[in-house]
Amino acid sequence: MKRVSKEIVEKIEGEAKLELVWENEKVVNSKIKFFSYRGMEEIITGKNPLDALILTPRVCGICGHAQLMACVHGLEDVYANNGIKLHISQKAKSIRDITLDCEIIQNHLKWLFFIIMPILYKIDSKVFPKDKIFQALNIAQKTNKIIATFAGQWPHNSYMIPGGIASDPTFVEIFQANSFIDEVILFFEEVILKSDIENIVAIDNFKSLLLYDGILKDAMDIMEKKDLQDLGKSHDRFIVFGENSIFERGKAIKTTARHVNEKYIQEEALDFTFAKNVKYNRRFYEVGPLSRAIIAKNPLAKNIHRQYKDSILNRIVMKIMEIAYLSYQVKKSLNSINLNEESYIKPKVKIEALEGEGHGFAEAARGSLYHNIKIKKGKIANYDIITPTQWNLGNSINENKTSTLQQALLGLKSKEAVTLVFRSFDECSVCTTQ
Amino acid sequence: MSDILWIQGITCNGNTQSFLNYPNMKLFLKKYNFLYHPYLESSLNVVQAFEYEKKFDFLIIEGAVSKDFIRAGVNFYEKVKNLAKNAKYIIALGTCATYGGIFKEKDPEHITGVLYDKDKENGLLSKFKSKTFNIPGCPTHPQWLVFTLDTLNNFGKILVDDLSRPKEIFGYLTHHGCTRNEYFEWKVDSKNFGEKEGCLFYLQGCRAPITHGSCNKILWNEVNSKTRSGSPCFGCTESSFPRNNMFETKTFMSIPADLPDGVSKRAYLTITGIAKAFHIKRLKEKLM
Repeated sequence: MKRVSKEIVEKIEGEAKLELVWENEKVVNSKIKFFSYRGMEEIITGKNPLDALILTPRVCGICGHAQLMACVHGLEDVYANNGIKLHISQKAKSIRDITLDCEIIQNHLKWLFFIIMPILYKIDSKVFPKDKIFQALNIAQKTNKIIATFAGQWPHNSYMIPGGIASDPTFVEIFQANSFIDEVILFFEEVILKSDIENIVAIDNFKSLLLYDGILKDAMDIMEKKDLQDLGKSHDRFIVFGENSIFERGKAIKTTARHVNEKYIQEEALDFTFAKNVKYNRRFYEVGPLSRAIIAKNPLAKNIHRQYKDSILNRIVMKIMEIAYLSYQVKKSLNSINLNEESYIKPKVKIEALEGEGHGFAEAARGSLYHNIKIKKGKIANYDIITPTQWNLGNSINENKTSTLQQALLGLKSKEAVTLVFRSFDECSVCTTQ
Repeated sequence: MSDILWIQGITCNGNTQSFLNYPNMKLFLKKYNFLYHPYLESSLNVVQAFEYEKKFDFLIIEGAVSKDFIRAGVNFYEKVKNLAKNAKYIIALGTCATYGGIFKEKDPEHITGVLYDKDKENGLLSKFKSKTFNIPGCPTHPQWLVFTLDTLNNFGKILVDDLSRPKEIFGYLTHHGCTRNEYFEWKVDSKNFGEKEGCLFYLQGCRAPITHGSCNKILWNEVNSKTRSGSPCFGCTESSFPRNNMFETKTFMSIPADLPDGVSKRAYLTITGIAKAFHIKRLKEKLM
């Protein structure tokens, strides 16, 4: 007997409806529906191209900074496609990467402490201590202070512009940012994984990871005790388009990485939801921290993959570890910035004078973000945004060609397991229904 | 304990995320109980929140309103009307909830703020004017919200301007407290982005002298502001946001077309002429 359960999933930066088809107490099919559409792409069309730098961050309250980076990359690509190579100083590039790294860090901290740990504790019939959540929120706020130090504020700033950045920091700002990132690192070392950062980022196998106490070990212990480690396996297909910070572009089936080309990205509209499917060369792929780790040949991810493939265990571990990798990277970048370089080098031609197309990519907290921009007669003629959640949460109409989420949910036996697997993707509703 | 029910219309979640930057969250939650919040733990789920029938203290509406917007499977406008009746106070949080904001542009005929439709007082919920307070900003600063809640909670009233915005927040201009003020006084413009020197009002589109808000008094994330760090103020607390060509100052006879709030053209031209005549060398040089 088949039965269908329908549930509204909330607090995913909005809501969605998850419909599950159960047979013999196992999930055999699923559908995810988004309720609304806000029309951001239409709102941007017809505007001055630079206004997109102000509008696109407002796609999403939690990943607006990634939207800004994808937008500025897209606008700079319009220059490139017109034969104008803009020189962006290493200083501007580093600061852009630092602030986006920080947005990703604060997102992962919120996801871990507000969502994943409380779910795991609940499965283990315990309550995750509120004080830990407040402590993590405080650290997420510190991370946001680094963004504000360079960009003015978070959420919603527009300090990346074609040619560089709008701010011109002094050592006062560098020192200030350094002290904030030190607090983030200290929190990781004292609460998440009790070791020192140099050692943490060098951990290359699952066994070593389990040597240290902390939240990460807590999560792993519950997953082992409750037999959750193998849940949520999907197609073992990973894709990354952004090249900001430590990320590398590529795709992989299992763990062998290959090149990608954006011309194979396809969007497909569906009649029952406001979210569009996204595929690469007719196939669904997973985006996000696990994909980034696999493509970058992260030894820990590859080691875990041998036993657990793309299960929630690997997905959760790599998202937590990304906090450490990025904090370490921010620290390194802060100490290597040459303040004597230009923050901004004014393009010789105004963007309104150009026509044509630009592709802008950024790795956002949840995965690859893509802006496709077309400019005509000095205005935005078309703006297309493809977000990470669209990649992960597709709806296949063909049962034999499941989306990443659909595949991950297959065979799950309980509502708790569905919630955990679903939230391991850290979906974002507002992004999906721009 | 005061009860808060925080719901979202057409929004980006920016005000929710901005609120999570509030530094004293633990203390806040000792004073306020979230019946519903879009991110934090709350006693109701989203469907129960929309169906809530009892009286409560604060209804926070984040996002713009339209009659046919569906949220969590229900008609947002119909549900909000009921909640509004039962709330002691209503807070329109953010620029979309205040005037319609960016998301109004998708369907300008039908999408409005709570009280206002741009600068006209005919938002879809304008009949609740007597108990509604506007806190615009894209997003709103968390301390602006907490100040408003605390004041209403403690005193039962709050001083507002003629757009129902708390005066103690919006009586100021964003310009007040900007570290580039001296350049404004002497009319020295910033030649480029990415510079510590110069005022952004003349070329880069800065709206701080025309925009009401405390961005340079109550700093963002406690550390900075757009204008201090070199980005122009885009005027996001006003009903005209978003305008077109926001990275550029529209000029008229080579002075900004929109002059500082309440300053006549004659006054502005006179002071500009005098200020510019002095060519202060220090202000034309690099700070370091």
